Amino acid sequence: MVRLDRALREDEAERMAEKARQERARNIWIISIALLVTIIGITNSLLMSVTERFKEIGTMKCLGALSSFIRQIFFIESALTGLIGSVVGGVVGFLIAAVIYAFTFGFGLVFTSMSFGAISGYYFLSVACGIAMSIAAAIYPASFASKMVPATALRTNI
Amino acid sequence: MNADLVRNLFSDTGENPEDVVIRGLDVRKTYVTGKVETHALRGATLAIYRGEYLSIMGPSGSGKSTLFNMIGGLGKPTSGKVYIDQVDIAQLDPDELAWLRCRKIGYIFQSYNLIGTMTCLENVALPMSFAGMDGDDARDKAVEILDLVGLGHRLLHKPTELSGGQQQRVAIARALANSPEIVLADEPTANLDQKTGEEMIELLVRLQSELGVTIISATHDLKMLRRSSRIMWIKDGQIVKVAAPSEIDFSSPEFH
Repeated sequence: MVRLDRALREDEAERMAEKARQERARNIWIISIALLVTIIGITNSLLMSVTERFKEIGTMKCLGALSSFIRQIFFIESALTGLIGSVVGGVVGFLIAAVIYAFTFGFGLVFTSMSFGAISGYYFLSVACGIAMSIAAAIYPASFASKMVPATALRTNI
Repeated sequence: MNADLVRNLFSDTGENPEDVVIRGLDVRKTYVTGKVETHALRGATLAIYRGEYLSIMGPSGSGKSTLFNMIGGLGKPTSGKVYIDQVDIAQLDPDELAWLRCRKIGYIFQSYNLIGTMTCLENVALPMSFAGMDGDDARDKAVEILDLVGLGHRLLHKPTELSGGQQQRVAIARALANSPEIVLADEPTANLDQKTGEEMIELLVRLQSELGVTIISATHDLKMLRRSSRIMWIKDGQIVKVAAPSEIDFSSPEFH
């Protein structure tokens, strides 16, 4: 009897652990795809921003800007966008999640069981992640802009 | 190439190479768009002398802008050589070219090309910061140059708050930021009214005569042509004629 009991519990624990593993794997997949889409989105909008500013880039190059300067402009711009986006996004995401859980499980439970330590940990992690991703997304547009020949950049009319 | 042209380009056989600030030897430039090749320059050979005021004339599509870009170090020729101050620009890497553009050449564009988000002062100080000048020194010098072009009272205005003539003066101030030896002006008076245009020409002529700056300008403006040291005609990607204004009949139909 005892044996059966123990076997059952082990089996159940294993099944639950397996389920948790599967859910974790699924979440990682969803998050990775979301992050990938975000990176592509940022790269795309930065490329548009480069196209919009062909003339400005060309002018700066005429005035003697080094390629590294042009690269920096886009990296700084992208990092700042990433910072603002993830700071705001983190707060908004937290509020939405809190409200949804509050309506599902009741306000009292949600606000008493919340661990602010863990939440702020995740918050800083996501801000850092946001900045890092924005910088990664800027690599291609920034090098594209910096390699442009000034004559070509000036000739292009948008 | 006809003999006249060669004589005009290298008239002085005892020519001191130091007197030639820009030399182009059989410069060719071909643009390839898909399968179509456009020969913008078909072998231009030229010499531009230190301290002269050269006007380049030619209809649109003649290769004028391309020649302009090549001698200004803004692009590299497909074949042929361009020497700026006896340096073959094809030998320079992008950062060395940036150095050259920053310190040796000042550019003035037809559409001014000021940076819209910066004030006049910042626009003029920008090339100085590219040259590695300290922020405060750059500001002081920018104020000085803007004063020189008559915009000392408009330092903190954005370009959009200025008239065309004032914007072009900011552009001239910016071109002078690093005391260049050469100023390249691409139709600088094309977007300006008669009076402002004349003021602009006066300013360029003063730069040439007082500071010894070499001025190269692409233009159709008769007023500018009359004031230049030499006029160069370009047609179908080739230099067809070089002459001094005194040798030219400005009443002929090609000028009207």
